[in-house]
Amino acid sequence: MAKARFSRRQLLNLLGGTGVALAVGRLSGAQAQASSQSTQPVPSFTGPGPNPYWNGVNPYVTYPQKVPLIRLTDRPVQLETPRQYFSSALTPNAAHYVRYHLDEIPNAIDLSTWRLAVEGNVDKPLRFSLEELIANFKPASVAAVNQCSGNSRSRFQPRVPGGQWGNGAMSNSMWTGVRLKDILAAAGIKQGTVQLQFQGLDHGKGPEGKGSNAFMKSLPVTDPVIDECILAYTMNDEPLPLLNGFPLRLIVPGKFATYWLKHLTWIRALTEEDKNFWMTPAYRIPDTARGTTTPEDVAANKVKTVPIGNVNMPVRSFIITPDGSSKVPAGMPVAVRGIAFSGYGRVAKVEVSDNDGKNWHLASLGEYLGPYSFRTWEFRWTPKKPGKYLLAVRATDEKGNVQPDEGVWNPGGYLWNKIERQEIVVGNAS
Amino acid sequence: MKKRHVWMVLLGLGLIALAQSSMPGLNRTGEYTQGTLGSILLPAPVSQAEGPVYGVGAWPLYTPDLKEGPGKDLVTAYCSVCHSTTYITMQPAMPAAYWENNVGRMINVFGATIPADDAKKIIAYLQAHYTLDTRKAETGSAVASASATTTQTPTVDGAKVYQNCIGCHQANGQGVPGAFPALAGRVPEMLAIKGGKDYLIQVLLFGLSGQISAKGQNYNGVMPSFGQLKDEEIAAVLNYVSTQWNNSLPQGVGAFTSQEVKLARAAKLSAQQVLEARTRLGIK
Ligand code: HEC
Ligand code: HEC
Repeated sequence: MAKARFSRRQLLNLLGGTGVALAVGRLSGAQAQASSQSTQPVPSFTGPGPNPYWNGVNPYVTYPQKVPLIRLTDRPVQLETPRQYFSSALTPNAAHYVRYHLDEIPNAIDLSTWRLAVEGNVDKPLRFSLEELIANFKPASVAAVNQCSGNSRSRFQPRVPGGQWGNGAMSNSMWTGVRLKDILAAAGIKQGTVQLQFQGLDHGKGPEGKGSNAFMKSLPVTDPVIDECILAYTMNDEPLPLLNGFPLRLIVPGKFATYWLKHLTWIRALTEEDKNFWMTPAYRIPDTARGTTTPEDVAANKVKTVPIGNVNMPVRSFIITPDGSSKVPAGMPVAVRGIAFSGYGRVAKVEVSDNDGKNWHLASLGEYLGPYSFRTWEFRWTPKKPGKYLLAVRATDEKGNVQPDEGVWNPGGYLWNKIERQEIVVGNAS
Repeated sequence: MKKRHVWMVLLGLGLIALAQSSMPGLNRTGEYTQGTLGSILLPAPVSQAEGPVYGVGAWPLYTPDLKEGPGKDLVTAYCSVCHSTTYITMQPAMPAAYWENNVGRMINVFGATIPADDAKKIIAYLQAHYTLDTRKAETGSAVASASATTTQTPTVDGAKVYQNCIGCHQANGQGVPGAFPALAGRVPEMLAIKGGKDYLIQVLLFGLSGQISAKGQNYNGVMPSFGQLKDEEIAAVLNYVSTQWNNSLPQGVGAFTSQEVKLARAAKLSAQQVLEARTRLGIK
């Protein structure tokens, strides 16, 4: 979710007017949601504390090509993936979350006239039909996590505006398509190009030249990720659902989804830095360790910001089952399962604790689908005594990044990767 | 909305983005329909037509009702142009100052056209209903708070649908000179022109934007598309504006029917094309 910068005075007012404690609120373990025992829906509103549920507190709704997902907004469409769909490394397409910024979302696309255009500072402006992309270029595949920059924003303390996602603004797919570098080589990127700008068919009702009219993102032409980018025409070997970007989507492995343009139709070689709303002031993070800052520093105008594309997605891990909807009998061996990933590369280690992080035990890792994919993990757990247990999970990636036990705070609500917890009640077995 | 695809110029960048005179391949876009919150139905399978067009139906809308109170109509009118008011109801507990900042950004950053007076009323409404203090008390479930959208009135009341319009065209149909054209005293004139009835349906279905003049006054605004309304609702609101404020249907012009609206949908015009239709008809 994009956030424009607050003016200093506005921010001071904003903070002055609230008694919200700035201490990073500690989640006492995510509460189950979608419990099979509960006939009560979640409340429609949480706050001023952090949202304690795994997903955001919104109703289930149906959309074309989708299983029931959790509605964040309806126009434009933003849908969160329920926790249950993360039990496998590849998220089913019908459950893949949805995040649009502008409300003119294609309902139908005519492939007889749709073309991918490569233009701007290139030797040879080009246009490709989907048929040409499929037939004329060698296909390439990558398993990669598509995660919204604002995933888990509802955990922030103090709360920040924007989409109040729980943990479900993420999904993982095997993406197949054309390598971006092959397309760029065909067009010939000329000297003097500084950024590549991407735009899709989705657009908005605001006036021309404003962020409410067009959604565009740019990457530095020198960013090594360009070589890893794929223009995907299949997702888990199926055509992309309309709501996930049919017919073509930019995949930027390791980076947040704001760069993963849907319905990709224009690639432009720019000779000057892109200053459109969605590059600045939107989607910027403090240029600090972990992108964290304080409301005071923001108010004092002390925070230098950089595009969120300057960093990769921090390492994260999640407990998917048990989800707290049932008790576990003491002495029974049960599998604690979940997923982990990092935008910086392969997940090297996942550890599980059953005493709120005091002691950690190694979990076993599932199949390796590539450095940017979800990796499943499993831990055999036999709780000895009845009582309440606080399970926690933390992952370490191949670069040695470990998940911290502190949250972050920045005005955009980005980069959350605090250790996740799940409370489990262990009952008597006799 | 094809007009806006006449592409943005990267001003000051020393680079002119190649003009996009159209969105290649875009076949249908931005279609929404009322969905039903609180009951998830098993969707029926669809039959796919052969050929190069890949499409699905309209996107369902699940917009919770805004809280009752003065200013609600203004918020509904002005804050539903670019996104639904779900953007308001989804916000977390924010201090009152947030809303002043937010509405300012919608106007200054995103180009929302809201007269200063109305903006003040909108901020007052949002601060009265969507801040921490006012929301803490909220105990109802997501489903309950949205239940109002699930009850459907069998016959559509045009006056109710006109609530969507009053923020701009005003309750008395007089509009705001220079910003929103009057409907009072003008709709019958448009209806009297051959093709005027079709034009009015098109304005509602596809919106209207660009330079126009009406009663000697110039306008250059955006009338949002109301294509998300049902055929019956569009017919009802057009009948309402045709018969209010001393307006009446001219001799030989029948009331709007939902069938007419349904047929007009197929044209899928852009707001720019509606503007062209207006020029052709010579509406002033
Ligand atoms: C000209 C188009 C336009 C109009 C009119 C408009 N908005 Fe927005 N609004 C946007 C865009 C674009 C976004 C960013 C959407 C996104 O990132 O998903 C947005 C985002 C928001 C958000 C999300 C949180 C935030 O702080 O950004 C809120 C709340 C909001 N609008 C409220 C309003 C209200 C209240 C009104 C009426 C006064 C309004 N909007 C009118 C374009 C508009
Ligand atoms: C957000 C403000 C806004 C809302 C809400 C709105 N309109 Fe409009 N409407 C306009 C503007 C602005 C124009 C003139 C557009 C232009 O300048 O090109 C217009 C034009 C029109 C016209 C054509 C007038 C002419 O002279 O050709 C009709 C008819 C109309 N609106 C009816 C409605 C009805 C009925 C509704 C409610 C369903 C409605 N409008 C809601 C802003 C609005």
